[in-house]
Amino acid sequence: MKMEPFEKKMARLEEIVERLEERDIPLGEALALFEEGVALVREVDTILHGAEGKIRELMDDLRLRDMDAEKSEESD
Amino acid sequence: MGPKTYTVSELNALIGNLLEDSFPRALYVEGEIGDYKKSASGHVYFTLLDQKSQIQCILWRSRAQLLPETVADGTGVILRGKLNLYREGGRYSLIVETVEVAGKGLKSLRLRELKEKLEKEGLFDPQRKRPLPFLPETVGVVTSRSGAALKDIVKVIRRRNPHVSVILSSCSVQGEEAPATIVHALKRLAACGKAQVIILGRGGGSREDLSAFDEESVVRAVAESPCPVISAVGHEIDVSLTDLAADFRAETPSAAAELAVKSLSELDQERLKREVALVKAARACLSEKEEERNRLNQRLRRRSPDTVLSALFLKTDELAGRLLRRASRAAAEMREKREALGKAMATQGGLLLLRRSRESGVVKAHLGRVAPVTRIQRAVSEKERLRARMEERLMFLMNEKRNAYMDFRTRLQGSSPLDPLQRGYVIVRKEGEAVSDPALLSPEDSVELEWNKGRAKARITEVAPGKDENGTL
Repeated sequence: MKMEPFEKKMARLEEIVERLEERDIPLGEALALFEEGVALVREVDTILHGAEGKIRELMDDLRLRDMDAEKSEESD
Repeated sequence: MGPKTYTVSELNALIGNLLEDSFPRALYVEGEIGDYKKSASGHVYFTLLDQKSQIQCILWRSRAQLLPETVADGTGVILRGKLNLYREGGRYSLIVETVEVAGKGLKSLRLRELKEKLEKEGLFDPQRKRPLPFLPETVGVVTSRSGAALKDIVKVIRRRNPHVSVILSSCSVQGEEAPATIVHALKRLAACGKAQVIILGRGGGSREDLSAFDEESVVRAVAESPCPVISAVGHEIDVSLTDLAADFRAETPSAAAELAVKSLSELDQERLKREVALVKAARACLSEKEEERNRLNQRLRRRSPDTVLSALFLKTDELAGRLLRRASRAAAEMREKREALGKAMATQGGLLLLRRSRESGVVKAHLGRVAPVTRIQRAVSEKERLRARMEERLMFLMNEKRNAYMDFRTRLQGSSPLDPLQRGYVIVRKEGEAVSDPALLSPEDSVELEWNKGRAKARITEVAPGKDENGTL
């Protein structure tokens, strides 16, 4: 499933923070982990703020047709 | 042996057992009520009829109130009960447990049967329920294109996370064709494969509108969906079979959308929280390392070369001190020796003078007493003078050596033969050949002198070969 990476990245971030909080971590590892963490934050951000979602209708031939989402929201 | 002859009681008991054993559990029977009679004891007796047959029914007093008020002869009902043979009367009857008025009752009977069947198949098993995706990119919506459900769902998803796409797979949610279109819409969405979660929605309406969601085909299609389905078809009170088969159930389409899509601002906050925690942890880790470094540095200082060196200095100073003391003691010894020698010399000198003056025969007593002192003084100053001369000579020799060395160095530096000419030296040539030794010349020889800046002719008047450094000719 496509969404798994987000959870994985968040979990990995948590893990990194926990590891960084340990006292016996070697500096080299700490630096590498921090770098990884910063990259993960960026990736998570990209996942969260990806392209604007579309509102479409699935046709019988499995083609997607854009829907007038505004209209359906307006008439609310 | 002839055929067995039963007594009436035996036969009725046998048939009664056969009957009751054959239908050990409650069964449902559908028909119309006839001969409705409520006895004085409170038990209710009636017959259940269809076009051809009838069956005696008994509703014991304890359950009589289950019978709806409206029931009368001709009311269509569905009865649930157990069969029983009244041994004494030889008649069998249905001991009624529940009564439902047909029409609605018939439907609910079928529904119950379907529910039991699907339940047995495990379609409603809690273990079949799948978790919702944490962050779906696309939400599939199966509902009417024109209904309020779609608008509500889109509105909520837009508000919570505008990056989530919505794919509508439209269907009819009520009417004859509804079940077929719902099944079709679900299958179409599964075939498309883009949605990670499906909301099956129906916007409000009366109880009857729900019937499509109790259809076996619809319930099965929901259970077979490749991705989790959130059912948003029921009311707060009514639970449809679709609700039971779905992975999640929401009371309204809006609630379903909220279940399906987490709020972006919350997710952002989660992310921010982790980012802050990351930076904080990294900082803490770094300052921890820094502290450790400082601690180690301090420990190192105590054992550093600096410290070791100053300890060494102390020791060398001490050694130097000892050396110095020994040297000055040696010097003092030498001085003493020298002074003793000087004294001895002076005494010797005095004695010598005394002997000489004795020899010359002009010895004057007072002079003899005084002379040694002046002699000693003279001898001491003579010694000082000699020492000064010796030093001077030494300086001179050292200077000479240094000059020789400097000269040698200069010669080495300027290895060009013409280089010395710049400092005023002259090359002497005789018949074009450079003369390196005056012994090669004789008086009256014509020579050519070459400076850096020019030449001159000269005639030799005298030749005086000098000593070489070894002093030989």
